[in-house]
Amino acid sequence: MRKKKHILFIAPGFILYTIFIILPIFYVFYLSVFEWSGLGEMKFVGLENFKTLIFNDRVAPTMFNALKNNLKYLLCVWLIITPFQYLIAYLLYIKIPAFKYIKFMIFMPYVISSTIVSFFATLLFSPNIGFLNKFFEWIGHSEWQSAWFGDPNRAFKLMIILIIWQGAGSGIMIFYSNLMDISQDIMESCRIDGCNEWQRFFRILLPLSLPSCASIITMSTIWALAIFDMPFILGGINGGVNGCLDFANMVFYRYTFGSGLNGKSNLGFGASICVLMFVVMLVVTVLQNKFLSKFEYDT
Amino acid sequence: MRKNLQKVTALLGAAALTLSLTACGGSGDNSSSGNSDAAAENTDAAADNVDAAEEETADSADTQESGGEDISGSLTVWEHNYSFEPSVKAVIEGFEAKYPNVTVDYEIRDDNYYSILATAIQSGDGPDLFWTNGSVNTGMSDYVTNGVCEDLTDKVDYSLMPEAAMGLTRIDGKSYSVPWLTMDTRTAYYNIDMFEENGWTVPATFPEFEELLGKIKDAGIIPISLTPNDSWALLFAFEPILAAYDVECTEGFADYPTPVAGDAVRGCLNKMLEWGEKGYYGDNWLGVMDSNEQVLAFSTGATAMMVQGSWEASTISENNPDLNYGAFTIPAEDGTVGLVGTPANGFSVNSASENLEAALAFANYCATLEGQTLWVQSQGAVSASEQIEASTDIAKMISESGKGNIYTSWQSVLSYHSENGVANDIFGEDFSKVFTGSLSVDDFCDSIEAVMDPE
Amino acid sequence: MKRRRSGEILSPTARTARGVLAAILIVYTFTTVFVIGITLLDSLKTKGDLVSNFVGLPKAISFDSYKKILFEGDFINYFKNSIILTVGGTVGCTFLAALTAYGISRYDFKGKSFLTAYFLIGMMVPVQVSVLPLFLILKKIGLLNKLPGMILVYMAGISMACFVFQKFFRTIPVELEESARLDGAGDFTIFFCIIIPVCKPVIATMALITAIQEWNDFYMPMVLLGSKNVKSLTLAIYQYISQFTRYMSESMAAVIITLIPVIILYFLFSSQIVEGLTGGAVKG
Repeated sequence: MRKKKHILFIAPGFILYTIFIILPIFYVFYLSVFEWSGLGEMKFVGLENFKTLIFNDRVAPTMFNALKNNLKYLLCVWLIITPFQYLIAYLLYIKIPAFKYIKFMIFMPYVISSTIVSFFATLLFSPNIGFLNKFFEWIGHSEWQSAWFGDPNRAFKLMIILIIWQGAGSGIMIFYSNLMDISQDIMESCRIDGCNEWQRFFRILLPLSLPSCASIITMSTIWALAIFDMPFILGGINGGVNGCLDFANMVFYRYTFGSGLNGKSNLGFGASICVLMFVVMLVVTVLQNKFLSKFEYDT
Repeated sequence: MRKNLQKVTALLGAAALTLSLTACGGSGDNSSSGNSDAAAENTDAAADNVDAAEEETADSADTQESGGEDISGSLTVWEHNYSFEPSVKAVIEGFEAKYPNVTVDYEIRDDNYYSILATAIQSGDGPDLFWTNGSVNTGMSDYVTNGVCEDLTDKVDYSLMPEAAMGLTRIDGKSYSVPWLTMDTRTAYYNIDMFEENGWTVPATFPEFEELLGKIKDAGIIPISLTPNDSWALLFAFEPILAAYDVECTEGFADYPTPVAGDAVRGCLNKMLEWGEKGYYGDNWLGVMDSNEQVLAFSTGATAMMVQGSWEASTISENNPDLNYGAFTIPAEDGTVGLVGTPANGFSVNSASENLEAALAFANYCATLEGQTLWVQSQGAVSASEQIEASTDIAKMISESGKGNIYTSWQSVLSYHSENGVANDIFGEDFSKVFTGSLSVDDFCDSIEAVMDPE
Repeated sequence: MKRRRSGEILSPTARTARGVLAAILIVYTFTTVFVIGITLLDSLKTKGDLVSNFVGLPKAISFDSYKKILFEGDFINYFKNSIILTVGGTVGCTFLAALTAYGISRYDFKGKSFLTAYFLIGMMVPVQVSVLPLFLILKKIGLLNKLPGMILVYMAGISMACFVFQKFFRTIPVELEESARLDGAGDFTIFFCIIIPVCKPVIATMALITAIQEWNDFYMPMVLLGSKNVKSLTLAIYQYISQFTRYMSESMAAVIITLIPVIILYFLFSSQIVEGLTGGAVKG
């Protein structure tokens, strides 16, 4: 009775998605084995692009440094950002005082354009014109002044803080709306059974909202590997001082579209970076999903 | 400058996935055609001056004016950067007045300009005229190889163009674009009020300049605004300082082979690093993340000077109209001065244009004194031609400070005299590393020397 | 049946803990108030005032920046285009995603896990990568430089919404559908009359997130909508923001202008999200 009906549901999305999302990706895979500036003859080079990427002594260190940063950021997403998002969503769910206001405001930075975020970061952290250094001078603690994003030991941490500030909102909202959808009856019976807040949180809410956690974690992982905007805003296209804010996507961007002056765009090589990123993402996502689905079963 | 835009470009994007990459990269923007641009007021000034220019060009304009009514159709022009929008508009207006039956549309593709242009041309949907950076990089030569650029050698009247500008248009001896006679040079901006208050004067020799830096620092003010995180911004400071540090070496760039990463360059880089250690760019200058921040520090009065491209003048004025600032050229030990600079490239004609006749008319209009005047003045740029007067005081001040002495840019030597401009790639990637300390001056210079053409 | 969720009696410690956490969060949100407030104030300053005084109150209120943006170019048209793009893209994308996710998560068929993974791929590739092929594809089907073309591209970006919906639909009890089916409802009736209402909160959330992304997007329109009559608002004001140092006060005004519709939207949607409270009361 339910046979075949699913095709009707899936087909429209599937068709559009395939044309506008998947087809371009195939194109990228295809490009990755060519040397091509975008015009004229494409020169088939086989796996040459990948070889360069992994073994060339100029490109490879940059690439691996970027991937290392991506993984570092991924850990931050798993261990800091996602738990933070869940915690906030939970606090909103249990209606802490002023939760309506907080809910509204916490999502707000998400709609502020990144340009402005960048500008305010400059206002705050700029060593020469920023508030922070001026403030320290004013209170007589010039020794607390710092180069902030110019200091490789701090840049990454500062970036995480700003990412949480600007980007955590969407995840919080998804967690929150999932919590909202947990059946009242369950909460009710839980109340009647007299379980305390901890028990309710760990035995009921957490397991019940796991599906949404899993989806957010999967997405965050993908985004963590594809991160571009914040490091770019904060550290520039070269990835900050000593490449401490360099990420795979920025490497892709630099090599594909060339630095402005030489105007040399090598789409083929860029595509190969993309393919590499893609493979890394796929592997991480698959492993992670295996892990998450196990977790889901256990609880 | 390139960076500014790019950076910001990226920004606007929404967060999350769609967002991802935007901007930057550069593709499109380039250094040699600076952002100079375009305060809207300048456009008015330009319009006034055009009348005068028109008379002067009566001869060359005659031929076109007679044919003006015959040509009809519509054109699309692509420019790579929003900062040129007012100038593109001004030139189009001037053109449409002459050719009332042609309508010209422009589109600005700020990001990944070259890739989008290539895709558009490839798909047969390319613009009739488009900007490239000329022979400076591989963009135009790639288009020429693929038969996309119309050969303009005998189709455009280049009589106005000096040799330096023509160099930009040539691939294998033929011309494929119309250059703009803006002079993209570098200069030392200084805060006049601050100088007067403290009794500082514009230095006449290099030792005086160094001494001045020390004095400013001692007064508790940051002498120079500089970012270590942007190879291009650093270049525009490095080149004029090198020209003062070693005149002979800089003069040598006009005639390759010449040492491009020899003792002079190494010495100058070490000198700049030494200044950094002395705090001449501020104690925490490693944290100045981009050229926007660099310009802001100067325009808001946090630093006394900034050594940067001449095109930044309009940004400074636009950012802080109340700032009283001037410009000088950093002098050599014996007081010699000279400007490091290049003309800028302009539009090429798409061979596949459906309206080739009108497109050529537009290219020709760009090459007239009238078109050039409109462009240069609406950019507020330093003029590269004696026949065009700069529209702003600061632009005049910059061009006068060089005493008519012009040097070849160090970076252009890198791109012209290494295979596929690879030295230029190395520069773009590594120059800022020298200043942030992750690469030594000698390692950098060695890697440049290793890839330069032997002759 | 409606009851406060945290209906249990709170111990004094828990009460204090909540109060403290709320206080911390309120302080935290002040950063946002601060940023938006400063942006608003800055947009009302004159240029000279702005550079010397980023944070303070304006010396005199000036609407020059707003005038410059609103009266230069064809603002109304840009605005209209942006609305069409955002509404079309958001409604289309969310609806398609819900349909697809329902099809995948509520039916059993071969290749189900493959499809789940297939729809995830869209998140793994940056826009820069796909924008050039998109240019070619739109050109082929004659929708380049046309609003419907751009809307189709937005609609196709269902990866994220589809993924979130799938996980979510799986949590809906099957009995809900079974009973409806016994009452003779068809698959689509069930989808529209039962599933969608139950999932209001999550659908509203995803729609909101999608809408904001599309409203703020300037990169795709820049490449795919070249001609002037289809320019979007973001694209029109992007020229100021892209030259931020130069047009600082205009950029501030531009930000406020684009922010207003988003905030209104957010107000509308957030009530939808809250209404989800009653969703759980529907019994199987």
